[in-house]
Amino acid sequence: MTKRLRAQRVSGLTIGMLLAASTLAAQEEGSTWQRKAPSPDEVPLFHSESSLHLPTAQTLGEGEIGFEILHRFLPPISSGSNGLWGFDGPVNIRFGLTYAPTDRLMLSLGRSNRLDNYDLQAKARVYEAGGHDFAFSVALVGGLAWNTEVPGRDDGDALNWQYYGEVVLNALFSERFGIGVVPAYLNNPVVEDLGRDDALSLGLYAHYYANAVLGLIAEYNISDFRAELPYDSFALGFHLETGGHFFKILVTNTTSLNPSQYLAGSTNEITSDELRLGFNVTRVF
Amino acid sequence: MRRITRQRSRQLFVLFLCAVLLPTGLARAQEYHVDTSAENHVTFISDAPIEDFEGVTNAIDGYVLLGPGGMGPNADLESSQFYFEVDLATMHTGIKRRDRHMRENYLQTAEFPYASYEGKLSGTEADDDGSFHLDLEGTFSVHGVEREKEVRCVARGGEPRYRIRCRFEVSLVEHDIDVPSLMFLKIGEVIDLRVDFYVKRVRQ
Repeated sequence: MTKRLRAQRVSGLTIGMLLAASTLAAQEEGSTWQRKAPSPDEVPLFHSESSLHLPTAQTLGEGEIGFEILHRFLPPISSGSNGLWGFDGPVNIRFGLTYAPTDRLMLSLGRSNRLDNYDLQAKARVYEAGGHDFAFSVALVGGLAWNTEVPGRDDGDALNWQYYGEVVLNALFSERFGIGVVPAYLNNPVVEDLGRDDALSLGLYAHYYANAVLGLIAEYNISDFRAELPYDSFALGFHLETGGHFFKILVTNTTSLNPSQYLAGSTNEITSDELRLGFNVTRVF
Repeated sequence: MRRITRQRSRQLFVLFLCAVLLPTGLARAQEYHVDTSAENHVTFISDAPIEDFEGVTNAIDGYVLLGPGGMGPNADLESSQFYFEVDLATMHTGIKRRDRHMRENYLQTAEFPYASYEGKLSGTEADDDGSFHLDLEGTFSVHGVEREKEVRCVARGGEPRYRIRCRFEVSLVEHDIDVPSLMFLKIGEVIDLRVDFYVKRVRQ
């Protein structure tokens, strides 16, 4: 190859490479950014930590504090306008304070004015799985109760103490409809008795979340028969949810609030004449 | 006069092409990505008649593309691009119940997991302290609804890392976020959104 021809070829190659490099550079537009994996979805659970009387598998967030006030008007609705359908009172009332040291554990201290029952309870959510269409969760509840106003008995009497355990099974469908099953054991269900006894019960409830604020709740607690507490417990109500508050309005045949008094049954039959009004208010901080 | 030989003219032509083409090829975009390992904060503030609360997350991501002039006086605004997004499922208000309420009932994060803002720079202005005031224009999207929005931000720092802070308002109604009238006493109709994050250069 002659020197001249070689020089021509080198020039041509150089020009071609320059053009290619420039074109490639001009085509290097757009970002190289790519989205990272999204955060995993949480398993949907019931909105509230409790139904109307029974627990759900839901727990407070770590570090959160919950406060609750529960009222049951003792006169039935059937007492009519003279008793303002029960609002004239008297009432059974419960105050409760809850603290969550972790996302899965809650510790509660509550007091009911019926026999001045003090209740110390722990709830642990031990399992949850599923997603939007179906979710299942399990919690375990254990509690100790001390009744300090039992007629004819000193505060420190051993028969004033009760203890209980519950297994909470929750299923949630399409994050709209939930059902709960709560088998429970209670020791010393009738604390006024002179001896200890055991009681078994099976709690059932259904929740329907109509929208962001309103929900409907039905609850039934099947308890083994005993003469002092011959009837099961039934409650029907609705809730208003505001993100930090729950307001629950209900009708029920039972006037017991603390678990050790509620689980073993009711003195009132499940008829329209024996239904009472009640409300639950809870607030989370 | 000395004649320019044919060979000499070819050499001059190649040099001319180098002078024209190479700078064009080497004038590349500057790209920055959000530094997700930094202390980024996205905060929304709800100011309602009976309750005030804040929601926070650090899950912001995205990028900025600038022309060869960067953010300075020679910034090529037309070739700039940005895209930022926030993972709404990570927002926390301090109450788990309220977080879930917000995610499921108002933001519906299962269907609309991200809030995003994308567009380009419409202006830059250098400050005496070395920071830049950036005017952004683009499309803000949340709850599946897009709205045109202009935002002014401040960028501080220096190559290769900048801290960017922005503040703007979002109307819940404009993004079809349906809040019951009772809840407007507890949730503000207009949310104050504050963004404070870091970007680092990934290529030039």
